[in-house]
Amino acid sequence: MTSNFFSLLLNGQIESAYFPSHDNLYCKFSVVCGADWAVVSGVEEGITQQSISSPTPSFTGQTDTLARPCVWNFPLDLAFKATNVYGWPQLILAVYGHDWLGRDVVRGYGAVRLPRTPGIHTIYAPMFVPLASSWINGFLSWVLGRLPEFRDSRFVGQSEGREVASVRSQGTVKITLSLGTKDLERFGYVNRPLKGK
Amino acid sequence: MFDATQQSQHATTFYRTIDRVENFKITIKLRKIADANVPLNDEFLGLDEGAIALAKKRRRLLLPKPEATVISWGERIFSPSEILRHHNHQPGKGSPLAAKYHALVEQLIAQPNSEESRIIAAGTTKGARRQIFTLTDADAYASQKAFTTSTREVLVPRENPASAMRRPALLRKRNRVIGEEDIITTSPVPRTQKCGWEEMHIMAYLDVEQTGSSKENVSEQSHYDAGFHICLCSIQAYDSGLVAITPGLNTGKKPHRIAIGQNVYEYTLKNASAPITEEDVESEWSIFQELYRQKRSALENILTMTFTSLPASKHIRFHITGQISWAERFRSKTLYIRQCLMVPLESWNIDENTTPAQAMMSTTQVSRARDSHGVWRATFGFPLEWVLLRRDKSTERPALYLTVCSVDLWNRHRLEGYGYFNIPEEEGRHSMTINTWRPLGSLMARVREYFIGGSTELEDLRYINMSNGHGQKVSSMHGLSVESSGAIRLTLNVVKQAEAYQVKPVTGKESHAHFAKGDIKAISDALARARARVKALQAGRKAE
Amino acid sequence: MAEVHIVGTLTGASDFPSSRLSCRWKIVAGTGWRLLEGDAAGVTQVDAPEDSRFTVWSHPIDIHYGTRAVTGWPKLQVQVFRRDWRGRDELYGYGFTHIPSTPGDHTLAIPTWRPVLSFWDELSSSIFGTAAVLKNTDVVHAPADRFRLTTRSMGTVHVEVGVVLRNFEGYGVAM
Repeated sequence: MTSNFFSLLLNGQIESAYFPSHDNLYCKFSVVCGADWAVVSGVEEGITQQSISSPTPSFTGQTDTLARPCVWNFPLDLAFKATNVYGWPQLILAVYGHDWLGRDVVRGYGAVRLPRTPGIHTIYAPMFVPLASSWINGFLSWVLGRLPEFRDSRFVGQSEGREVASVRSQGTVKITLSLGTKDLERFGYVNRPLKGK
Repeated sequence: MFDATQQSQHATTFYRTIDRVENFKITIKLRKIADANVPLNDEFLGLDEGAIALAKKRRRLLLPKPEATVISWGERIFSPSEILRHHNHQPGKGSPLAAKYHALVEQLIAQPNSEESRIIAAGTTKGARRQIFTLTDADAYASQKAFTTSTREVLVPRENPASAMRRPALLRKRNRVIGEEDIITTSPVPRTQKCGWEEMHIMAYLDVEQTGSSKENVSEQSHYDAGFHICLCSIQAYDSGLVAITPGLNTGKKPHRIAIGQNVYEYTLKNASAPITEEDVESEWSIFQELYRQKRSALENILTMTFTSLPASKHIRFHITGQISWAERFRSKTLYIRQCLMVPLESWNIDENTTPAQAMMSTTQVSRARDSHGVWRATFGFPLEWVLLRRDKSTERPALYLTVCSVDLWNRHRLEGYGYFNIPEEEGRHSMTINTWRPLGSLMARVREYFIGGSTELEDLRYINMSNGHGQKVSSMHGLSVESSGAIRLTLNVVKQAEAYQVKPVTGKESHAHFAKGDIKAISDALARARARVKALQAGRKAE
Repeated sequence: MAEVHIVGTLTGASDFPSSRLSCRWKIVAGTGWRLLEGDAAGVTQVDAPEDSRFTVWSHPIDIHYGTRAVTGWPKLQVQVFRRDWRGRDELYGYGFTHIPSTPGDHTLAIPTWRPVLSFWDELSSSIFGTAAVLKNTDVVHAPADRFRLTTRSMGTVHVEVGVVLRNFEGYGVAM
C-alpha cells in the first residue's frame, strides 16, 4: 500500500425524469456514503428547479418507450476521499410535484449506487412511493394532499428495515455521470479484470 | 483550509471546513460611498490626478467613517434598536431568550462611555455610530433576500428552530421490531431536511430616512427604528463541514454593494480564521495513518495470511463456477437436462477435495416451461462447480456435455437434444447460448417415439464433440441425420491460479522482469543503455 | 489474506405472473470466507408497480469478505414472495447466481423457479394460498442431483453488482 487514501470524482447531471401520470416535478438529491468516506468538495445535497414536461417525446427509459420527460439538467459535482470500498456512495433522489390542488406532494424516491468503474455511465433510476396502509387512509391522504412520505429519505439507501415498506413504483429518473477514480490501484483495489500473462 | 467553489457574487457560495465551525472568524468592512449630498461617481473621466484626489478627500469628509469588525462564530452584537428594545424589556414577561438579552444589554450599558450607554441617553437610534450587528441561530430570522435565486422551497422559514433541523440520522432500533409508523408519515416532512446546521446573519443598521421606494429591502422594523436593517451576509454551517455563505467571501478587489435610494454602501467579507499550521497537518495525518494501521492489523488477525497454495510449476488450477440458466424453444414444455463433464485425464486432473464425483455427472430438476414474450422457456438455475488442474498444455480440453430430455404426463421420456461446450481457456465470465440437435431415427422409430416414447440416442456422448477426429484424416459426421432443437443458456466464471500469474513486488531500481518475459525490444534497449554507460565512463577516464 | 467487495443493488424483478413482489436474499460463501463488513442477508420492500412489467426493489447490497481460497466463491440466493390481496406472502420463486469473479460492474439476470406437486395439491394451494416450499433451501445453490424435484419456471430477478478485489495478485490468481 503506497497511498493513504483513494479518491472518487463524480461529474454529471440529473438530466430528466419521466413519470407517466405526473407532471410539474422537481427533484431533491443527497449523497449517502459509509463511515470511511468523506466528501471533499461539492455539495452533497441539492434541489433542482421545477419542470413541466415538454410536448415532444424524446426519452427512452428502461422499457424502451418514447415519452415526454421533465428536463432538469441539474449539475452534480462531487469529490470523495475514502479508505475502504465498503460504503460506496449512493445517490438518494426524491421527486416532488404538485397535486390537483397545487399542494406539494412526493412523487417518488429512489436510490442509485454509483458505478464502481470509471467512465461515462447513463443510469435510469426507478422511483417508488410508500403506500397508505389501507384504502381509506389512501383516500384521505389524496383528499388532504398529504401523501405518505418516508420520515427520512435516506431510508431508501439502507438495507435494514425495508420489509415493512409497502411501495408503489412509478416513474424513472435519468442520470448521466462521468466517474473517475484516483489512486484506487495504488491503494490495492482492483476493479478491472485481473489478466494472467 | 477553505476550498471554495465560487459561483456568482450574489449567489450562495459553498466552502468546506475541516476545523470546527466555532473557530470560524470573518472580517467585515462597511463603507458608505454615496449619499444624497455626495453623488456616486464611478468614473472620473477627463479629470487629472489632483482633481481626483481632491474629490476623494471631499467624499471622505462628507461621508461617515467606514466600519470594520472581526466577528467570530456565534458572537452576538446588538443593533441600536435592539439595545433600546431590550433595555425596556419588562422582567418576567416574554421568552427566556429576551430575558437573557436584557441581562446582556444591561451589562453593556453599565460600561461607561460605551456606544450603548450613549444610545440609551439619546433615547433614539438616530445618529448611532456602530452599524454592524449580528443575529445568531437562536433568533429565528427568515431571510427573504434578493441575493439568492433559489425557489421558495429552498429557504423555508423554520417553524421550530429549537428542534426541527438538528435531527440525527435515522436511528437504528435494533432491539425492537421496526413498525411501519417508524418509517412512513403523512405529516409534512420539511423539504430541506439536512444534517444539523447552524445559522448566523451579519446585519447592518443603516441610519437612513425611510422613503417609499426603498421599502423592499427592509426585513424588520420596529417603532424604535429611525433607519433600516438589512442583511449583509448569511452563513450556514452544516455538520458535514459544508459552510454556505451568501454572498460569498470577496476574493477579488470588487466589494459587494447595496443601495437604498440614493445611499450606496459597499462591504467586503474576508476570512479571518487562524490558518492551519504545519504541526496540525502533520498530527492529523499521523492520527489517520495510525487508525488505518490498526485496522489493517485487526483484519489480518482475523484471517490468516496463508492463501491456498499455488499449484506446482507449470500447472494451472481452474476454478469453474456457473449455472445452467434456462432452456428455450424445445418442442416439449417439461424438460430436464443431464450434464456430464468429461475431462481428458492424460493432461488434466480433477481436484478430489472440492469436486465430488456427483458433480461430474448429474441431472437437473424437471422444469415446466412458461411463456415469456412468446417463447416457451424452462428455467433451471442449476449450479455447476468444478476445480480442475491442468498438468501440461495440450489441445484436449474438458468438455461439458448436455443432454436435454423431456417427460410428459404419461411419464414418457424423450430425447430433446444434445449439446456440448468446451471449458474456456480464458479467465473471466462467459455467457453463451448452446444450440442443440437431436438425431432422427427411421420412420418407425419416430412413430414409436410419438406414441410410446423412447428415442434414438447416441451410444457414446463423445461423438458430439469429435474434435480429435478419432485418428482419421478427415473428421466426418456425415451419415447422421439430425433435427435442430432448442437452445440452452449457460454461464460460467473461470478463475485460474498458477505460479506464472503471481505478481511479485518489484524490488530494486531496475527490475529485471523484462528479461524474464523475453521481450526482445526491452532487452535491446537495456543493452544500448549499458553500452552508452560504458562509453561515457571511458570518455570520462580519457579526459582525466 | 485476500479481500472481496461486493457492492451493488438488487434492482427488481420482471416476467412474473404477478408483479406485487418482495424478495428475501442472502449471500452464501464457502468455509474459509469471513464476512468482515456488511449484511449478508436481507428482505426487500414489497412493490406494487404502476408499470406491471417491472417490479422495483432498489435494495442496496454492500458486503466485504476476507478469504484465503478461491473455492466457495460467494453466491447470491433469492426467494421471491408475492403479496396477495389478503396481505399474505406466498413463495413465488427460488433462484441463485454466482457473484462474478471478474472485477468490475456486472448486470445479472437470475432465473427463478418454484417447486410444484401433484395436480390436486396445486389446486388447493391456489385456493388456500399455501405454496409448496423447500424444506432445505441449500438445494437451490449447492450442486447436487435434483431429479426428484419438479418445478415450474417463473420470472427473472435483476441484480447490478460490482466486484472489487484486493491482494489477489500476490497469490497468482487470474480472474
